[in-house]
This record gives sequence, C-alpha cells and structure tokens, in this order.
Amino acid sequence: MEAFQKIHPLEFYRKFLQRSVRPDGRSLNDIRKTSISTGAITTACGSSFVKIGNTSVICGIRSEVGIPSFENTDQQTNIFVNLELGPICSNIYSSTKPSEQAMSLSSKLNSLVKRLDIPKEDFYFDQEGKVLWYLYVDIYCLDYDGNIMDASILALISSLKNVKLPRGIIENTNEYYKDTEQLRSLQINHYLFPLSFSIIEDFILSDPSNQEEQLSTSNLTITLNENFEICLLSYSGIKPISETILQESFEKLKNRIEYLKSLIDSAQEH
Amino acid sequence: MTNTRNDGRLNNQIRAFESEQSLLNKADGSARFTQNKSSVLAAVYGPIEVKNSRKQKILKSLIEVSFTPSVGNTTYLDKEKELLIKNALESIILTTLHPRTQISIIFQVFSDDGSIISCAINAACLALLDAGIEMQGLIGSVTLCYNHDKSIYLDPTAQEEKECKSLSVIAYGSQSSQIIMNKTEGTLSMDLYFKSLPLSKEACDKVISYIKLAVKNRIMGTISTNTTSTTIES
Repeated sequence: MEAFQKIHPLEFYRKFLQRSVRPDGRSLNDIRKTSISTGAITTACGSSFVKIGNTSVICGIRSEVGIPSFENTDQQTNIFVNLELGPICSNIYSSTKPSEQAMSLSSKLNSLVKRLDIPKEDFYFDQEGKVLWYLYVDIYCLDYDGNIMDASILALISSLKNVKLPRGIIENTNEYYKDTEQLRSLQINHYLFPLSFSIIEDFILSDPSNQEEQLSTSNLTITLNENFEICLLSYSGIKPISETILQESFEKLKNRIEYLKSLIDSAQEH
Repeated sequence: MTNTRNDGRLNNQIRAFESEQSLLNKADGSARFTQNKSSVLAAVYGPIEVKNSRKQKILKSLIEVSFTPSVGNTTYLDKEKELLIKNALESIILTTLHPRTQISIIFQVFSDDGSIISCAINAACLALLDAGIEMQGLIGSVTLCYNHDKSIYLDPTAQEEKECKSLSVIAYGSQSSQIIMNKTEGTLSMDLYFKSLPLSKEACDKVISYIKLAVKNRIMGTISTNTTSTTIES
C-alpha cells in the first residue's frame, strides 16, 4: 500500500476521498488538533508557539525604540511581520533566499496586522509619543506539514496579545530608560480566525496536510474577525470556485470561531 | 445616482480601456493594457526551454511571472502580486500541452493609478493571445473597493484604494461563471461581499468582450483598440 501511495498519490487519495475519509483518519471537515502556548521565549517581549497537527511554528516579537518620521503618519505601521520558511521545516526550502511562498505569506500577515486596530497611543514610549516602540514579529516554521497560513496567523495574534512593553522614561531629551517594573500590554481590539481549505478534484478538505496541499488544484484561505467580517480572503488555483462552495466554507469557519477564541484566550492565562 | 467619485465617475463605472498588441519585436507576444492612468506592458516568451532545470515539470509547462513596478526595486509586495497573477494565468493556460517547457510572462508597469493587478492580468490575456499560447478560454479581472459608507467603487484609482475599507481583486474566466482568482483584504461584511459578486462578474464579462474586440481588430489589421468608459449594471 505504501508503494501505491508513492507511485499514484492522487489515485490513492481518490480511493479514500470517495468514502469521505482521509488517509490520516480524518473526515473531510476535520481539523487537526490545534494547540497554542505563549511566553516560551523569555528574552522576547512576546512570543507564542502554535501546533496544528504536525505543523509547528514559533513566533517571537522583538521591540525597538525609534523616532517616527513625520511624513504621512497615517500610513505608518509600528509592527513588521516576517515569516521564515527555512530548510529546517521541509526539504523543499533552501536557506539561501526566501521562497516566493514565504514572501507572499509575509505580505498577507503584514496586511492582517492592520486589521487589529491597535491604537496609536499604545506604541508611545513616553507620554507624548515623540518616541515610539517598533515591534518586529518573526515567525519561524519548525515543522511543515501543510496549512502554514492558519498556524502563522494564530501565532501572530497570540504573540501580540502576549506582548509586554515596559514604560519608557526620557531624560535630558536623548537619554532613554526603560522601567521594567511597569509593564503594559497592547490593546488589541479584534481577533483573527483563519481557516484554510484545499480542493482536490471536487472534494473540499479543511486544514490540508502537506501532501494534500501538493495534490490540490486550488487553495482557499479565509480569515474572519469576531464580528464575522472578512479580513482576508484569498483564492487561487487551477479550478474555478463557485459561490456556494465559498458560502459553505464560511459556515465551516463560523462554527469554529468559538473554539479558536477560547484557545487564544486560554493560552494567555499561563 | 450622484457622481461622488473624484474623477466624476459613477460608483459602478469602469475606466475606458485602451490596448495595443505586438509592440515588441523579440517577444513571442506582447500587449499593453491601459485604464486611464494605469498602464501595464506584458510580454510573453514561450514555450521555451526551462532555464532553471530544477524547476522543470514533467507533465506540464512551467509558468514564470515577473512583475516590475514603474519605480523602485521589486519588493515582497510585488512578489505577492506575481504569485496572484501566476495563479490566475495558470488556470487558463493549457499547460499540459507542452510538458518540460517554460512560458515566461513579464510585466512592466508604465504608471500605476490603482487596479494594477487587474490591469496586468488583462494585459497578460491579450499578450498570451498575441503569442498564440493555447488557452481554455479568456480571463478578465477587475478590482473593487468597499468604502466605509458601504458603497462599492468599481475599478478604483490609487487614491480610492488608499482611502477604502477593503479591497478585492477578482478574476473570472469566459468558460464558467465561477471565480478563478480572488484576494480580498480589509474588513468587509460577508453580505456585502456576496452582494458584490454579480457586479464583479458583469464587469469581468465587459473586460472579456473588450479583449475579444481587440483581438478582432488586430486580425483586421489595427494594432490598437480603445473604448469609452462603461457603466456596469448587475
């Protein structure tokens, strides 16, 4: 049977999918066991570790103090996200230059950060905001078994909720001190709830594994916030998608939102 | 409906199209697609030998897209655009006809005034037709922006893209009424999203019928084609 899986992976999958089950024992809508923990990196100002089945990502946030430039202040962002898919997570990635997939994911994550509506005042180093905190979010994939999008979005939101910034004191205009006794967290007004799907022929698989992603003809990722508003929707693939499938996918994610919310919240309590 | 947009267009009015084909000598196919101040040149080379043999695909041809902005170096944002365009085009090109080959599609932006991804996809469709690459059908793309007051602007300018609440790039094929590619960013209620789908479908049909007209003109001998701006009723 292993040989059959290696030589004809698609035919192998089709035999399973026709019976509405996947080779790893899940049904088409089943999502692998998801776990989130925070605060693993003590030297970072916020961190999280997310595991979806065998996919695991670690996320750390580094903070820097900087003076904002006063040009187009509306467009400025204080959070920069970078996702790294290194050779450690899978043999398809090389260490030399970031893959296209990593770049595209990074840009999606950077746009999602803006959906969190974090007030500007939260980044103030001092009282007036002459000097600001800048946060650099680094997400590393340790083990790649599909659905990196969901894992990295969950890692991003839970590590941002974990951020503790010290109070800043400025003396003599250019001497900066940190008061590590007084820590504060960011005020994050929204949640992000992601769910990805892979479409293999006519079957829609929630939370695809690595092999399922490779066999799939199209991929769909939806991210909603707690008000059921779309934050990110990306669909691309060889086969077109119908409106009804989109609507069904939204329903599947809606059913999962409560669970994800409790998962993100309970990860903060330790 | 009143004209509330800066350039005097109606909410559901797309800018006039203008296109020119076969303007490059060396390329197998090329086209320029212009929507007022947004203009993209697309060149197609292929099917050619795969340059990076590691990327070669045994059963189908490799699609390579490179997108150069009008100013500055390519950033990760342009990489993301490349990937979106590549995904959209892969679904209409019959890649299985030429295994172990490569089809390169190169974009040069002349000027960017919003809806640039849509503009590039439409240019690519014309360029692919010009190069004679076998396709399943035609592809048309349109950008929509959703504003804070729940109004929807079709084919937004750069200014409108900046001010809007969320932005959606969508592509439809001429074969079916299903979505080929979609990327929606920003907060947007699901109702409004599904309400806007027929509108975008209608707009993409307009783009496709324009592409058909441009190809017809090309065969008759005129290289460039243009239309006036049209209003989309869904």
